[in-house]
Order: sequence, then structure tokens, then C-alpha cells
Amino acid sequence: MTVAAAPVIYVVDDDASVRKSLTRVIGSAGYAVEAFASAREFLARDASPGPGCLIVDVRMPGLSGLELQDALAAGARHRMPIIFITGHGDVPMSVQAMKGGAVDFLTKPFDVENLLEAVQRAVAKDVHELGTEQEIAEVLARVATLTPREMEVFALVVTGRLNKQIGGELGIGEKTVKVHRARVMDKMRASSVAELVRLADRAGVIVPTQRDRTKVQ
Amino acid sequence: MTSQHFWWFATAATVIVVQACVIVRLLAIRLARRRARSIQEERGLERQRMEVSLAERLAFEKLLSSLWSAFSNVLTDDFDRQVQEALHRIVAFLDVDRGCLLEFTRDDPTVRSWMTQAGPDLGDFPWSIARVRRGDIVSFSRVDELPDAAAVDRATCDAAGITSQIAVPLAVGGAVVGALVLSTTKVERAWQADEGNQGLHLLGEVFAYALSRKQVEHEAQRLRQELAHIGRVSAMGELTASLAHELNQPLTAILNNAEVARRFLAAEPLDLAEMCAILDDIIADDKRAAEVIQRFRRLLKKGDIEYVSLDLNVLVSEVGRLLIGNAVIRGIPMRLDLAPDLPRVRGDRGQLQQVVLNLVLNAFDAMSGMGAGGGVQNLTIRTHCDGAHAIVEVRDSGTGIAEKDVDQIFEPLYTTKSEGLGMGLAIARTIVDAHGGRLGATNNGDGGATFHFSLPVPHSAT
Repeated sequence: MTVAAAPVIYVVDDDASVRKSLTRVIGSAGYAVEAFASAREFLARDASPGPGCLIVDVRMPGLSGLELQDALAAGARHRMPIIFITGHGDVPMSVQAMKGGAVDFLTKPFDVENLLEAVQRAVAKDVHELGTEQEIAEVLARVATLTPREMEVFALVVTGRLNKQIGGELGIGEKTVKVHRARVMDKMRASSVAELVRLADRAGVIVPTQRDRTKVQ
Repeated sequence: MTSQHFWWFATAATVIVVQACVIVRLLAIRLARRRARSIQEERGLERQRMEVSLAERLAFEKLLSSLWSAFSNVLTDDFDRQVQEALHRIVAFLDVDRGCLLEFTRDDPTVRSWMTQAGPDLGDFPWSIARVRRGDIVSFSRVDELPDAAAVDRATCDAAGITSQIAVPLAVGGAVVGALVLSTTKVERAWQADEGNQGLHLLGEVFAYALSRKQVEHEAQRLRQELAHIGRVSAMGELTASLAHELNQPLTAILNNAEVARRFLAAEPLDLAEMCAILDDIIADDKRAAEVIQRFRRLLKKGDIEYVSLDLNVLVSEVGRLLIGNAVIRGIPMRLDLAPDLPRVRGDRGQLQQVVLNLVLNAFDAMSGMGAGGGVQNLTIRTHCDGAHAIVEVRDSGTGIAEKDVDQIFEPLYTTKSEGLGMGLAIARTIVDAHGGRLGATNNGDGGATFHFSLPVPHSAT
């Protein structure tokens, strides 16, 4: 799954010189850059759908970098990878940042090489995640096209049950099961049960438990 | 002789005797009257003399008491002027031509002096000064009276036209703190014996008091300055964090820019315009860093006390700039609410910065334990005027002051924190008191406390 848009790097720092120099650095590495003076300004931006990452100073007047991290995590939209930079490093802060899922935590003045390497990692991660997200969205879209009965059959097929068993559980004939099964495979665009299982896993389809199985037998 | 002649003789003799007696009596009466009159005259003269002397005495007492009151109210700034005025009055009163006050400092051979008019250098009276410093009165009515050992002194007198002079040592608590020197240049003046000198001694006492008080105040000021310096140095830990944070920004920018420039140099073609722009930014950030260091250095410098006209708004803003790094690190928003028409006050910039610094650091500490659960944290520094005073308030949203601590917090070495000397508030109070102001603290109704100090606005300030 490839993502079409080019990555955009977002820089959030209240210091003008730092913003300007960071823009230069990241721009010189070939990325598109957008800079913001505060977390609020960043949140108010028009979000682009493509991949990217966020470089943000931990301590700023107003909303701090960590608070921004929490705000983004709470939001429904695209959770961009975050790289933290700080003029005042302390261990508890960095731990909180990493636990919150940050890609890296750099103390000013940092080595530009380290920053660019972190940006590379972050973008790659975002591309992957976006790809995954898209994938999941597609699978769910397919699942949504299944009828309730097809859904039931789907759920049981992925447990490895035979058509006969499925028929028994659902109270329908084996032939009917076969028909539903074929339709499910078609709608889900799966070429094998194994693939169906993977798609189910991706979509988070709930699988019936062992207990139901014994009940049938 | 017949009895008749005898009787005539006897009668005549009697008359003669009686007449003689009468004459003698009359003469005696006349003598007595004359004596009485001359006694009366004498008494009258004496009374006149007494009245004159009483009037003189009264005038002297008046002079003395007005000198005392002038010096008991004197401010350090005004001291020189007061001394000059006093010397002139004494010179006029005692009808001499020159007056001079000398100040000796312990352990220091140099001598300060105030004079009613320009005169010879004091170094030119080595003999006299040496004796006066030992506590002796040195006087001469004629220059010739000076001994051979005082040859230099004699030469000076001749050169300056001094005809007679008296130098009275001024002692406080057994130590000679100075001398009062009166000289004539027109006539030779006979200095009176002890009781006349008593007047000089009394006058001398005023100066002795004034000098010793000046020295004490000087010492007190010096100690206060030391204390303020100690306070600044102990605040350094906090300031260092602020400094590091402030410096990191330009340093980061410089490093970023330099690395980009390095890459650009390797690229073809070389974008000169961009290189110039990068270098400009590097230079600007470097200057910014230098400024930050300057600001901190100015605060930590140990300077002499200098009372100048100050705008408290400017002073508060400067301290705010110094501590913004600290505030950001702690995540405490700092707000300045400055009255636009705040009148100026008189004070020492360094010391008053110290006061504001201590109060803000104190507020930071009050809020440090609280964290996210304690509600909204904020710090506000506010200035305003109540007509007679300029007031600065530092309001925090911290834990507030416990009832039992309210009186104690300004005591030296009192601290509720695990670190720190506990000197910050005591130093602040000492400084504010010395400036004629008041420093206090009150708990806020909505949590936290406000520390406030007021400074008097000089009447002549616009």
C-alpha cells in the first residue's frame, strides 16, 4: 500500500531563530517544512493528509510539547510521530515523552545528524502506519458489505470449522453454508482461508470462543 | 580769765565742735552716697555684662541646638551640604575667618575635610594633625608660638595667611573621629582658657556625633550591600538554569545554521546569497547570546550602592526577562501587569532588582510542589501607585502562607524548604527598609499568596 502525498515536517518552537534554522536544516535534507510558533497555532492548521512528523519543543509558553502530545493522542485524526527537542533536559520529562510514543528526545543544542536521522525514522514509521491505516479502512469497508448471515459464517470460517459444523451451529444446511462462504470470500477478496484469517485479524473481527464449539459437538 | 570769757569760749568751742561734727557727718553721708552710687553703677554694669553674656549664651545655645537638630535629621546625600552650612554659621558666630572639619578614619592615614573656603592642603599641617589625632587641642594665637618641630605647619600658615588657629579633637567613645579647626587670617586671636573652649567643645560634639553617625551608616550600607551580594550569589543556582535555557536557543540555531552552511559549501552550484543569509543569522544569534550573558553578569556584579531615580516598571521587566527561562522550565506562566503612569522612586537598582528577584523565586518555590493536580498555576507581577507610594506585588497561586509562619517568614535563616539558606526574604526586607519602604505578605482569597512592597515617591518627582 503506497501513500501518494510527499511527507511534510512540522516544526513547533517559540524561539524564532530556532524555528528558522530548523526549517533550513530540514529543508536542506529535501523535506517540505512548515513552522509554527506555538502548539495552538499548529493545532489550528489545515492538516494535510500525507505522512509527516512533528518536531516540537517540550517547554513553551502556553501549551507545552508534552501537552500537545497528549492532545494529539486524544484526537481521532492521524497520530503523527513526534520528535521532542528541549533546552532543558530532564529524565522524568524524557521518560514521559517516550512513554507517550515519541520517536526521539533530543537536547539542545543537538547534533543535526541525529535530528535528520530521527526525522527519517519518523517519516518511515508514519508512512507505514498510514499505509496500515488505509489497509484497515479498506478491510473494514469490505466487512461492511457483508450481510448479517455472511458475517456469522465469516466469523466461524476463520476459526477453522468445517462447513458441516458451521451449518450445525447456525442451523442451516451445508449447501447454504457453502454459498455464503463463497460470497464472503468474494466480497473480502480473499483467495484462501489463511488470507481470510489475516484480514479478519486486521479488521478486528471477533472470533467465537471454544465454549461454543463444544456446545455444538 | 573771768568766768564770762570762759563761758563765751566754751560756747564758741561747743558751736565749733557741733559744726565740725555736722560737717563730718555731712561728709560721711556724702561719701556713703557716692560709694552707694558707684556700687550701683558697678552692679548695673555687671548686670549689663551678665545680660550680654546671657544673650551670648542664649545665642550660643540656639546655634548649638539648631546644629544638633540639623544633623540628627541628615540624610547621607545631604551630609556635605549640612556640614558646610554648620561650619559657616560657627565661623560667623565665633567671628573667625575660616572653619574646617576633619574626619579621621581608623586604620587609614587619609583625612577627609570640609572647609568654608579653599585653603591649604591638610598634609601641610603634619605636626598639628598628628597631635590632634592623639586627642590634644592644638592652638596658637600667633604663628610664632608654634614650636620648631612644627616648621612645616608654620610655613603653611605664612603661605596661607593664617594668623591664629585652634584645632579641637572630636572624640566618640574614646576614639578621635575628627577635628574642628578654626582659623583667623586678619587678626591674631587669643584663644580663651578652658571655659571659653568649653563652647568649642560643645560645638565639636555635634560634629563628632554627625561624623560617627555617618560612619556607622556607611558601614551599615556596606554590610547591606554584602548581604545583597550574598543573596544574589545564592540565587545563582536558579539563575543558572534560567541562563542555560536562554543560551540554548541561540546556540541551537547557530549549530543548525552552521551545519547547513557546511552542506551548502559541498553542493554545486554554491548559493552565495543563501550562505550570506545563513551567516547573518549566525552573527545575530551570537550577539543575542552575548546579550543574555551580559544581562546575567550585570545582575551578579558586586557594585557600590548608588541611589538614582528609577522606573520600577523597567526594573520589574528586567527581572522578568532574567527569569523567563526559569518560568518556562517550571511550566509557570509569568504575567506582568504594569501601571502605565507609575511615578519614579529613588533607590539602588541592583538592590531593588534583588528584592524582586527574591520574591519571584520565592513564588516559584511556593508553586513547585503543586503540579497538574493543584489547579491553574500562574505568577503575576503587578505595579501600581497609591498616591504616596509606588507598589510592587508578586502574586502566586501556590500553597499560601501558614498562619503560624506569617510573622516568621521574614526572619533570617527561616525556611520551610529542604534546600536554601532562608535568607532571601530577610535580605529583601532589609533592603526595602533601608529604602524607606515596607515589605509584607498576605494570603490570597483564592489560594496562594501575594508579597508586596512599597517605596515612597519623592515629593519633587513628577
